[in-house]
Amino acid sequence: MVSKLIFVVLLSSFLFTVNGLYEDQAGKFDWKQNYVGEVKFSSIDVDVTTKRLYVATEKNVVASLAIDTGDIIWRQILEKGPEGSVELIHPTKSRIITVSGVDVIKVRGWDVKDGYLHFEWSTETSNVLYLFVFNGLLHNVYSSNNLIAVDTYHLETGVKGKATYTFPSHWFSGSDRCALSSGSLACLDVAGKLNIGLLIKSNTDRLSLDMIGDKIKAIPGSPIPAFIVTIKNVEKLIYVKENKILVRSLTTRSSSFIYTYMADRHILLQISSPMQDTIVTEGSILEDSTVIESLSLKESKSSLKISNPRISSAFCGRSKANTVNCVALVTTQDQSLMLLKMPGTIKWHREESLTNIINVEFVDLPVSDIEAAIEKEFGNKESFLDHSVSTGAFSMFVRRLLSQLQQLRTLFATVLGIIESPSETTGTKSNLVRDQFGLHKIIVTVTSAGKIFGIDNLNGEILWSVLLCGVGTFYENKVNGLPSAPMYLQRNSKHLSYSPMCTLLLKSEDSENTVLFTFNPINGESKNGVTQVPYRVIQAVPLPVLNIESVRSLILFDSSNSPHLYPADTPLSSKPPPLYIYIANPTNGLLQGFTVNVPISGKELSTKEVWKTQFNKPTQIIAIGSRDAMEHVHSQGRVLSDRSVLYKYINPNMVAILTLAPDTTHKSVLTLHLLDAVSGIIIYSVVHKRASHPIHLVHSENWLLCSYYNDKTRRTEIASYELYDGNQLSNSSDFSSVGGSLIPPIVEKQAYILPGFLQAMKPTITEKGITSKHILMATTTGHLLEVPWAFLDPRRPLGEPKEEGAIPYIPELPMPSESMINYNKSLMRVDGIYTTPSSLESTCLVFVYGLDLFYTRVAPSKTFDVLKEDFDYLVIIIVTTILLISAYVTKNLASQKALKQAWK
Amino acid sequence: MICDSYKVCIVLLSIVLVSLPNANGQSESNRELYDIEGTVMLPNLTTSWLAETVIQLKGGEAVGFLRKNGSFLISKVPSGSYIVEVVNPNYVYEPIRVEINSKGKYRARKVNYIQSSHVHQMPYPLEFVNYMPAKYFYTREQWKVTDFLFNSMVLTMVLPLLAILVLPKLMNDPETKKEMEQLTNLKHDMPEMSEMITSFFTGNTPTAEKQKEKTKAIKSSKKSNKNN
Repeated sequence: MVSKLIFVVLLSSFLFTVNGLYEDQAGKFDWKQNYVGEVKFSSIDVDVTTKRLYVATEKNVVASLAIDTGDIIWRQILEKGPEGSVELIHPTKSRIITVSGVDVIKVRGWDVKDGYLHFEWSTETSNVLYLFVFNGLLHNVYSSNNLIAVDTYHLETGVKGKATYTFPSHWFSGSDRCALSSGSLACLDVAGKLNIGLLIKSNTDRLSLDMIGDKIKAIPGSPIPAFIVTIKNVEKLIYVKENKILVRSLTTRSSSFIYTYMADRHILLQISSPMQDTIVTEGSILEDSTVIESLSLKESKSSLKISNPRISSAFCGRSKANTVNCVALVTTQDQSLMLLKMPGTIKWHREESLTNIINVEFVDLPVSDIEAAIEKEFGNKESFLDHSVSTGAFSMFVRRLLSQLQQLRTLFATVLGIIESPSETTGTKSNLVRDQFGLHKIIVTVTSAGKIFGIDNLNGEILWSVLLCGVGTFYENKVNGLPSAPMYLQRNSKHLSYSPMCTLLLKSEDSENTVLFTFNPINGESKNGVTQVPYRVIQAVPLPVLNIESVRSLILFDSSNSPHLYPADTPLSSKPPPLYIYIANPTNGLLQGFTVNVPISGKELSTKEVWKTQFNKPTQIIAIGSRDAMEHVHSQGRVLSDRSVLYKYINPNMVAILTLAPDTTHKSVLTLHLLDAVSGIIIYSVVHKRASHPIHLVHSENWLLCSYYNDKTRRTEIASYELYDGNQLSNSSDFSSVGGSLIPPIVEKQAYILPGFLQAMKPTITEKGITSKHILMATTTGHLLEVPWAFLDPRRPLGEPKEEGAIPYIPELPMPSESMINYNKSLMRVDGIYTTPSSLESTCLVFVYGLDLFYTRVAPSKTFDVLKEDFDYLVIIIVTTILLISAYVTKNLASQKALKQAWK
Repeated sequence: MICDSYKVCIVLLSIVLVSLPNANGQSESNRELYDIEGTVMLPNLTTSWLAETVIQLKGGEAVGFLRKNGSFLISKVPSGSYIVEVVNPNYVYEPIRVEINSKGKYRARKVNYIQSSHVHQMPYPLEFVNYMPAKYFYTREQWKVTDFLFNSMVLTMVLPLLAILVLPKLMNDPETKKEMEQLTNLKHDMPEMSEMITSFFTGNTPTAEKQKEKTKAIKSSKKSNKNN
């Protein structure tokens, strides 16, 4: 028994040497960017020595940023979801106090310098309308029994104040017609009056003003009660001073902010952005509308893309030259955060929308100009279909001379150290070219703020960004309620005479119809890229063949199940085989399979329904797992100990469908169906009782992994399934879903315990599929774990191992710290992991997104195809030179000896 | 018999019926919320340390933060069984399972995922005492002379080389030469196999011994003759 255990330990330790890092590799090919999320509340530290600002964000993060650079000094992540949503921040001299939560209000005081907790108290409430701080007391405004009640708590201790003020509820005319600013509640009533009442004492006198408004909103962070009332698209600023309501008309549509300048004077700062690259600020004295010249400026910067700027907080001071200077923290609609110095410029800029990535794609870079010339010269027709290369002897000779001339020129340029000007043709930086191993790519990300980014994968630098405002919005994913943005790479950068092309499916801003946005993923440019279609696309499938312009056309399925081709009216290069498409509707549980016939002309597509499956109401489809389209399976079978082969069941048409249904005895039942999307046959089904969220599904090669939380045993379990054909290969050439035998595959299954909680799970992928597979798991403790699939293999033997290399079954999965590939760069709130192959078979590129961005590359079977980076070049040089020298010396010596012997 | 089984059925049904409202009642009383308290032993008490350590309940459903003395509070959680983990980027702590029953009784125990019924009680308020630095990196193998020398390949190469180079040198020494000669002599003293066997089969061993001595003498004389 002991020996067996030792064997297991040895084996696992041996296997785990496969992955992991050496200390000097840290940060060599990985990077991490920390973010805070869209800023909700902020406060600039008045103390000039510390130079900090504090933010609370939509991602439930409280953080301190450096005013000069925008770098994060400390960051604390509160509870996920509404339980941790920050409702209020209140800075005091040494603490920053946050109030968070909905039904349970948690008040926490953080140290301003280091961000640790000073105090925490909590209270249970319900029907909270507003929360505000006045005089060191937290006021909780809530509705109860037809009254508006205000409870007070001491902010630092949580001791409840003596009095509860109540106000008649007819004051409150609905949350969209009321606003609270600086302790005063302003409501527009039905009679066309604006009533403003103070909620900090139990008096009932109110100020009122005749005003018919459509909307009212408070100016955030205002020191005096100040509101903006919209009346038929005209905005009016209303503020209370010395118990009087004063009204000031606003001329431009802009965002306002009020700052106490002197005891009785306030500065009104206004900011607007008439165009994407300009930002206009105006400053004036609130009371007498005197314009402050030093605060009024117009700034243009072509690299910026601004929409709807809003001042979150500001700090003003008087300079030596007796002018007013301000710094303002500005947030925009696309969730970026910037510090504006007035008079002056934008000091720094943070793209916080990168915390809300909803879709990722890695795009290969185009080849360099020289390589393009070489490719043109030889005219590799297979990969560069689009070249009309003439084959005349003379023209080929000229081409050869020209390309060699160019090579010579670049050689001189590099030798002399002349930095190349950006390539004229592609308009990109000269270093943005494909490298030998395909490790340099562009990460194209779509964020829910409506901004697309192109990020350099080697250093994380943002290369370009595009705002989708005015183009379209996103459809909502019915399963998780998040916005969805399907993105398709229609043309990669291999086609030299065409630029790469990426298409994003968006929802039209004023109807349910779809808008297709086509752009170049290398530089983000879009030339007539917006296509409005008169229908709503419910499924889009790329064709297996290219059209004559080397574009992988998309079949768009509209809501009446009729297919369309995009781009339309371009003939295809060859006739595609009959296509099978499935559509899953999570709202009504309907699954349908269609066959589509696409003629070579690309016109008059025809479709026919093949099968239909319905999941009835309480059962809900929660996930569909299909294999990565790029994936290759290298080995067709598995050699057993008796030298026979167990063939894998590799069905390219198989999809896994996860459904969750509530159950009276088992709480909730998770069902996994394996469905053939061509024939509609359910190949296999399995049920997990008492399984609940978080649920993750991975489908790759001939195996599936499904992780869930088991409510009965209270642990995370990963169920592993593997499908085999048996000892005979049922399909020697191509898999057929309709022909062939209907013998169901052999399903091997096993469950493992994961000692932790999963945030995301993804298998690695390599170009040819020769490299063994590892599973990347992001845990809630912030680690990115690389687990070899061999540990999750359902064929791990229960008893003595029979097969070579098989690890005996142990229920608990090991989580050694060496396999945490992000080492101490913790990744909290991971939304997803993206993996893509590089041109090296051994290497897989990994991008993890969520609150932070993390990029690394992994080599599941070690880098067998390149020299290790710790390869000792010096030793090999020394050894070969010594050998060469010694060979010559001994040769001479031997000849001398031979001569001497001859003389004897 | 049938009647009996009916009775059983009815009894069972009634139990179910009785237990159902109970279950409902329980879910309502679940609204009672509890606080979980504890302390974390820190490797050093710098304040940046406190800020980067978070206490997670059931994978982040609720979180607690450390105060200056290393204590934490996870406030307002419903009764149930939770795993409490200390999350720090550089150190690893052992998680503890906390169970709060519907009456508000606390029990802390060691986490055992495989045998969940096995209880190993731990003190409450929680104490996270055992920590160890997380080892994320492998140490690179460094080139050492001893490693090279004691490599089996090197040994098999070097030892015969030594034997080839050193042994002839030793031969030059006159004394060793003598010894060597003696050794060779001894070798010749060995009895011949065929003779031994014949003597063995003939039976008279004492004579055979004598014979041996004789042959030895003859042989040596022969040899010396030859050498001469």
